[in-house]
Amino acid sequence: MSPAIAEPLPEMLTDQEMVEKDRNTTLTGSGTLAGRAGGWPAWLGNADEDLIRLLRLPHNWDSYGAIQVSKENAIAALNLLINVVEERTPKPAFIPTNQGSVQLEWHTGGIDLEIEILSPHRFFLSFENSNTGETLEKEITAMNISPIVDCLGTLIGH
Amino acid sequence: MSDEQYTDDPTISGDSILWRRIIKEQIVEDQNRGIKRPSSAAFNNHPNGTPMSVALEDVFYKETSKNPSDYLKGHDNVVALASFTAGFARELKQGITRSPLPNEPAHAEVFGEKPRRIRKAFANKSQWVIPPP
Repeated sequence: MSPAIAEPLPEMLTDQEMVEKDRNTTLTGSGTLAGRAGGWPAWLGNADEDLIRLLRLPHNWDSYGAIQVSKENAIAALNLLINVVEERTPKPAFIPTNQGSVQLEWHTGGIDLEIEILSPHRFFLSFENSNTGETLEKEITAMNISPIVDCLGTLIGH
Repeated sequence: MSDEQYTDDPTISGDSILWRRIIKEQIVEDQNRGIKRPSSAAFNNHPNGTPMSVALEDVFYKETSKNPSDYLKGHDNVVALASFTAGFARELKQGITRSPLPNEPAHAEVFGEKPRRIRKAFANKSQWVIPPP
Protein backbone atom coordinates (compact mmCIF):
# COMPACT_ATOMS: atom_id res chain seq x y z
CA MET A 1 0.00 0.00 0.00
CA SER A 2 1.21 3.43 -0.79
CA PRO A 3 2.77 5.20 2.21
CA ALA A 4 0.65 8.20 1.24
CA ILE A 5 -2.48 6.42 2.49
CA ALA A 6 -2.53 6.52 6.28
CA GLU A 7 -5.21 3.95 6.97
CA PRO A 8 -6.29 1.53 4.25
CA LEU A 9 -9.92 0.52 3.92
CA PRO A 10 -10.85 -2.77 5.58
CA GLU A 11 -9.70 -5.73 3.50
CA MET A 12 -7.93 -3.36 1.11
CA LEU A 13 -5.88 -5.30 -1.31
CA THR A 14 -2.40 -4.16 -2.13
CA ASP A 15 -1.44 -4.17 -5.74
CA GLN A 16 0.33 -7.49 -5.26
CA GLU A 17 -2.61 -9.04 -3.41
CA MET A 18 -5.00 -8.04 -6.16
CA VAL A 19 -2.72 -9.58 -8.77
CA GLU A 20 -2.64 -12.83 -6.82
CA LYS A 21 -6.39 -12.80 -6.34
CA ASP A 22 -7.27 -12.31 -9.98
CA ARG A 23 -4.40 -12.94 -12.36
CA ASN A 24 -6.54 -12.30 -15.41
CA THR A 25 -7.65 -8.80 -14.54
CA THR A 26 -4.57 -7.04 -13.24
CA LEU A 27 -4.78 -3.29 -13.58
CA THR A 28 -2.31 -2.05 -16.11
CA GLY A 29 -1.44 1.41 -17.17
CA SER A 30 1.03 3.37 -15.17
CA GLY A 31 2.68 0.38 -13.57
CA THR A 32 2.86 -1.15 -10.15
CA LEU A 33 3.27 0.84 -6.99
CA ALA A 34 6.88 -0.14 -6.78
CA GLY A 35 7.58 0.75 -10.38
CA ARG A 36 5.69 4.04 -10.86
CA ALA A 37 7.59 7.22 -11.42
CA GLY A 38 6.77 10.49 -9.72
CA GLY A 39 5.07 11.29 -6.44
CA TRP A 40 1.54 11.01 -5.17
CA PRO A 41 -1.01 13.80 -4.93
CA ALA A 42 -1.45 14.97 -1.36
CA TRP A 43 -5.20 14.33 -1.38
CA LEU A 44 -4.71 10.62 -2.04
CA GLY A 45 -3.68 10.13 1.57
CA ASN A 46 -7.21 11.01 2.65
CA ALA A 47 -9.11 9.39 -0.21
CA ASP A 48 -10.00 6.44 1.99
CA GLU A 49 -11.81 8.83 4.34
CA ASP A 50 -13.82 10.21 1.43
CA LEU A 51 -14.84 6.70 0.45
CA ILE A 52 -15.60 5.59 4.01
CA ARG A 53 -17.94 8.57 4.24
CA LEU A 54 -19.84 7.16 1.27
CA LEU A 55 -19.86 3.67 2.75
CA ARG A 56 -21.57 5.06 5.83
CA LEU A 57 -24.53 6.35 3.84
CA PRO A 58 -27.61 4.36 4.91
CA HIS A 59 -30.12 2.63 2.71
CA ASN A 60 -32.30 5.17 0.90
CA TRP A 61 -29.61 7.80 1.40
CA ASP A 62 -30.95 9.92 -1.46
CA SER A 63 -34.59 9.75 -0.26
CA TYR A 64 -35.42 7.90 -3.50
CA GLY A 65 -34.49 4.32 -2.58
CA ALA A 66 -30.75 4.44 -3.24
CA ILE A 67 -28.74 1.31 -2.52
CA GLN A 68 -25.87 1.58 -0.09
CA VAL A 69 -22.44 1.94 -1.67
CA SER A 70 -20.73 -1.43 -1.73
CA LYS A 71 -17.36 -1.99 -0.15
CA GLU A 72 -16.15 -3.71 -3.30
CA ASN A 73 -16.91 -0.69 -5.45
CA ALA A 74 -15.36 1.71 -2.96
CA ILE A 75 -12.18 -0.35 -2.89
CA ALA A 76 -12.21 -0.50 -6.69
CA ALA A 77 -12.41 3.28 -6.85
CA LEU A 78 -9.42 3.67 -4.55
CA ASN A 79 -7.39 1.03 -6.36
CA LEU A 80 -8.15 2.66 -9.68
CA LEU A 81 -7.01 6.05 -8.41
CA ILE A 82 -3.78 4.56 -7.07
CA ASN A 83 -3.08 3.20 -10.52
CA VAL A 84 -3.91 6.26 -12.61
CA VAL A 85 -3.18 9.46 -10.69
CA GLU A 86 -0.01 11.51 -10.76
CA GLU A 87 1.29 14.06 -8.33
CA ARG A 88 -0.44 16.88 -10.21
CA THR A 89 -3.79 15.12 -10.61
CA PRO A 90 -6.45 17.26 -8.93
CA LYS A 91 -8.71 15.67 -6.38
CA PRO A 92 -11.90 14.20 -7.86
CA ALA A 93 -15.35 14.50 -6.42
CA PHE A 94 -16.36 11.18 -4.86
CA ILE A 95 -20.01 10.77 -5.80
CA PRO A 96 -22.24 7.88 -4.70
CA THR A 97 -24.62 6.40 -7.24
CA ASN A 98 -28.05 5.06 -6.41
CA GLN A 99 -26.94 1.69 -7.82
CA GLY A 100 -24.48 1.24 -4.95
CA SER A 101 -21.37 2.42 -6.69
CA VAL A 102 -18.99 5.35 -6.86
CA GLN A 103 -18.46 7.95 -9.57
CA LEU A 104 -15.26 9.98 -9.74
CA GLU A 105 -15.68 13.40 -11.29
CA TRP A 106 -13.44 16.25 -12.40
CA HIS A 107 -14.85 19.48 -13.86
CA THR A 108 -11.98 21.85 -14.46
CA GLY A 109 -9.85 23.41 -17.16
CA GLY A 110 -12.64 23.09 -19.69
CA ILE A 111 -12.76 19.35 -19.15
CA ASP A 112 -15.58 17.23 -17.77
CA LEU A 113 -14.34 13.80 -16.78
CA GLU A 114 -16.47 11.20 -15.07
CA ILE A 115 -15.48 7.65 -14.23
CA GLU A 116 -18.17 5.36 -12.90
CA ILE A 117 -17.17 2.18 -11.13
CA LEU A 118 -19.45 -0.42 -12.72
CA SER A 119 -17.82 -3.30 -10.89
CA PRO A 120 -14.41 -3.94 -9.35
CA HIS A 121 -12.95 -4.55 -12.80
CA ARG A 122 -15.19 -2.45 -15.10
CA PHE A 123 -15.42 1.29 -15.34
CA PHE A 124 -17.29 3.71 -17.55
CA LEU A 125 -15.33 6.67 -18.83
CA SER A 126 -17.02 9.88 -19.95
CA PHE A 127 -14.76 12.67 -21.19
CA GLU A 128 -15.56 16.04 -22.74
CA ASN A 129 -12.96 18.65 -23.60
CA SER A 130 -14.60 21.96 -24.42
CA ASN A 131 -11.21 23.35 -25.46
CA THR A 132 -10.92 20.94 -28.37
CA GLY A 133 -14.41 19.53 -28.80
CA GLU A 134 -13.10 16.05 -28.09
CA THR A 135 -15.52 13.65 -26.46
CA LEU A 136 -15.16 10.05 -25.40
CA GLU A 137 -17.57 7.60 -23.80
CA LYS A 138 -16.27 4.12 -23.31
CA GLU A 139 -16.48 1.15 -21.02
CA ILE A 140 -13.03 0.35 -19.65
CA THR A 141 -11.86 -2.89 -18.13
CA ALA A 142 -9.10 -3.36 -15.65
CA MET A 143 -7.11 -5.09 -18.39
CA ASN A 144 -6.47 -1.75 -20.05
CA ILE A 145 -6.96 1.49 -18.19
CA SER A 146 -4.76 3.54 -20.54
CA PRO A 147 -7.75 5.58 -21.84
CA ILE A 148 -8.31 6.76 -18.27
CA VAL A 149 -4.62 7.58 -17.89
CA ASP A 150 -4.70 9.49 -21.16
CA CYS A 151 -7.77 11.52 -20.18
CA LEU A 152 -6.25 12.40 -16.82
CA GLY A 153 -3.08 13.38 -18.60
CA THR A 154 -5.08 15.80 -20.72
CA LEU A 155 -6.76 17.10 -17.59
CA ILE A 156 -3.44 18.02 -16.00
CA GLY A 157 -2.08 19.43 -19.21
CA HIS A 158 0.28 16.90 -20.62
CA MET B 1 -40.82 -2.82 -15.10
CA SER B 2 -41.19 -1.69 -18.70
CA ASP B 3 -41.78 1.89 -19.71
CA GLU B 4 -44.61 0.61 -21.89
CA GLN B 5 -46.91 0.72 -18.90
CA TYR B 6 -46.30 4.44 -18.44
CA THR B 7 -48.03 7.10 -20.49
CA ASP B 8 -46.91 10.66 -20.82
CA ASP B 9 -49.55 12.93 -19.33
CA PRO B 10 -50.49 15.74 -21.70
CA THR B 11 -52.14 17.64 -18.86
CA ILE B 12 -48.63 18.27 -17.53
CA SER B 13 -47.63 21.24 -19.63
CA GLY B 14 -44.15 21.74 -20.97
CA ASP B 15 -43.73 24.70 -18.65
CA SER B 16 -44.53 22.60 -15.59
CA ILE B 17 -41.66 22.61 -13.15
CA LEU B 18 -40.47 19.32 -11.68
CA TRP B 19 -38.50 19.10 -8.46
CA ARG B 20 -35.78 16.65 -7.50
CA ARG B 21 -34.21 16.43 -4.02
CA ILE B 22 -30.41 16.52 -3.99
CA ILE B 23 -28.15 15.30 -1.20
CA LYS B 24 -24.87 17.00 -0.35
CA GLU B 25 -22.82 14.03 -1.51
CA GLN B 26 -24.21 14.39 -5.04
CA ILE B 27 -23.30 18.03 -5.50
CA VAL B 28 -20.20 18.88 -7.49
CA GLU B 29 -18.09 21.99 -7.83
CA ASP B 30 -18.15 22.69 -11.54
CA GLN B 31 -15.11 24.91 -11.95
CA ASN B 32 -15.74 25.15 -15.68
CA ARG B 33 -18.96 27.02 -15.01
CA GLY B 34 -18.10 28.46 -11.62
CA ILE B 35 -21.13 26.88 -9.96
CA LYS B 36 -22.21 24.10 -7.67
CA ARG B 37 -24.58 21.78 -9.45
CA PRO B 38 -25.98 18.28 -9.08
CA SER B 39 -23.92 15.36 -10.31
CA SER B 40 -25.25 13.35 -13.22
CA ALA B 41 -25.58 10.55 -10.69
CA ALA B 42 -28.50 12.40 -9.09
CA PHE B 43 -30.77 11.87 -12.11
CA ASN B 44 -31.25 8.17 -12.58
CA ASN B 45 -34.18 5.77 -12.44
CA HIS B 46 -34.84 3.92 -9.21
CA PRO B 47 -32.45 1.03 -8.54
CA ASN B 48 -35.36 -1.38 -9.02
CA GLY B 49 -35.93 -0.06 -12.54
CA THR B 50 -38.96 2.10 -11.88
CA PRO B 51 -38.90 5.70 -13.10
CA MET B 52 -37.18 8.67 -11.55
CA SER B 53 -39.29 10.30 -8.85
CA VAL B 54 -40.00 14.02 -8.92
CA ALA B 55 -42.57 16.41 -7.54
CA LEU B 56 -44.83 18.65 -9.55
CA GLU B 57 -44.34 22.19 -8.29
CA ASP B 58 -47.85 23.38 -9.12
CA VAL B 59 -49.45 20.43 -7.37
CA PHE B 60 -47.18 20.89 -4.36
CA TYR B 61 -48.28 24.46 -3.90
CA LYS B 62 -51.93 23.68 -4.59
CA GLU B 63 -52.24 20.64 -2.36
CA THR B 64 -49.98 21.53 0.54
CA SER B 65 -49.77 25.30 0.88
CA LYS B 66 -46.22 24.71 2.09
CA ASN B 67 -42.83 26.12 1.17
CA PRO B 68 -40.25 24.30 -0.95
CA SER B 69 -38.11 23.84 2.15
CA ASP B 70 -40.89 21.73 3.61
CA TYR B 71 -40.37 19.31 0.74
CA LEU B 72 -36.90 18.56 2.09
CA LYS B 73 -37.96 17.96 5.66
CA GLY B 74 -37.68 14.43 7.00
CA HIS B 75 -34.94 13.46 4.55
CA ASP B 76 -31.52 13.30 6.13
CA ASN B 77 -28.62 14.41 3.94
CA VAL B 78 -30.94 16.25 1.54
CA VAL B 79 -29.71 19.82 1.38
CA ALA B 80 -30.94 21.20 -1.92
CA LEU B 81 -33.76 21.13 -4.43
CA ALA B 82 -33.16 21.08 -8.16
CA SER B 83 -35.70 21.66 -10.89
CA PHE B 84 -36.23 21.27 -14.59
CA THR B 85 -39.24 21.65 -16.82
CA ALA B 86 -41.43 18.91 -18.17
CA GLY B 87 -40.68 20.22 -21.63
CA PHE B 88 -36.96 19.74 -21.11
CA ALA B 89 -37.52 16.20 -19.93
CA ARG B 90 -39.57 15.47 -23.03
CA GLU B 91 -36.77 16.86 -25.20
CA LEU B 92 -34.66 14.12 -23.66
CA LYS B 93 -37.23 11.53 -24.78
CA GLN B 94 -38.65 11.18 -21.29
CA GLY B 95 -42.31 11.03 -20.29
CA ILE B 96 -43.97 12.36 -17.17
CA THR B 97 -46.83 10.71 -15.34
CA ARG B 98 -48.63 11.71 -12.20
CA SER B 99 -48.34 9.20 -9.36
CA PRO B 100 -49.59 10.81 -6.16
CA LEU B 101 -48.74 9.14 -2.89
CA PRO B 102 -50.70 9.34 0.38
CA ASN B 103 -48.06 11.54 1.94
CA GLU B 104 -46.90 13.19 -1.24
CA PRO B 105 -49.73 14.34 -3.50
CA ALA B 106 -47.32 16.09 -5.87
CA HIS B 107 -45.35 12.93 -6.60
CA ALA B 108 -44.76 12.18 -10.27
CA GLU B 109 -42.43 10.00 -12.27
CA VAL B 110 -40.12 10.75 -15.17
CA PHE B 111 -39.94 7.56 -17.19
CA GLY B 112 -37.59 6.59 -19.99
CA GLU B 113 -34.12 5.21 -20.37
CA LYS B 114 -31.49 7.36 -18.75
CA PRO B 115 -28.13 6.68 -20.31
CA ARG B 116 -25.24 8.82 -19.23
CA ARG B 117 -25.87 11.61 -21.74
CA ILE B 118 -29.43 12.00 -20.44
CA ARG B 119 -28.29 12.12 -16.82
CA LYS B 120 -25.61 14.65 -17.70
CA ALA B 121 -28.14 16.80 -19.52
CA PHE B 122 -30.37 16.90 -16.45
CA ALA B 123 -27.36 17.71 -14.29
CA ASN B 124 -26.17 20.54 -16.52
CA LYS B 125 -29.53 22.14 -17.19
CA SER B 126 -31.29 21.83 -13.85
CA GLN B 127 -31.89 24.97 -11.83
CA TRP B 128 -31.79 25.37 -8.08
CA VAL B 129 -35.06 25.96 -6.25
CA ILE B 130 -33.15 25.64 -2.99
CA PRO B 131 -29.42 25.95 -3.62
CA PRO B 132 -26.94 23.99 -1.51
CA PRO B 133 -25.56 25.80 1.53
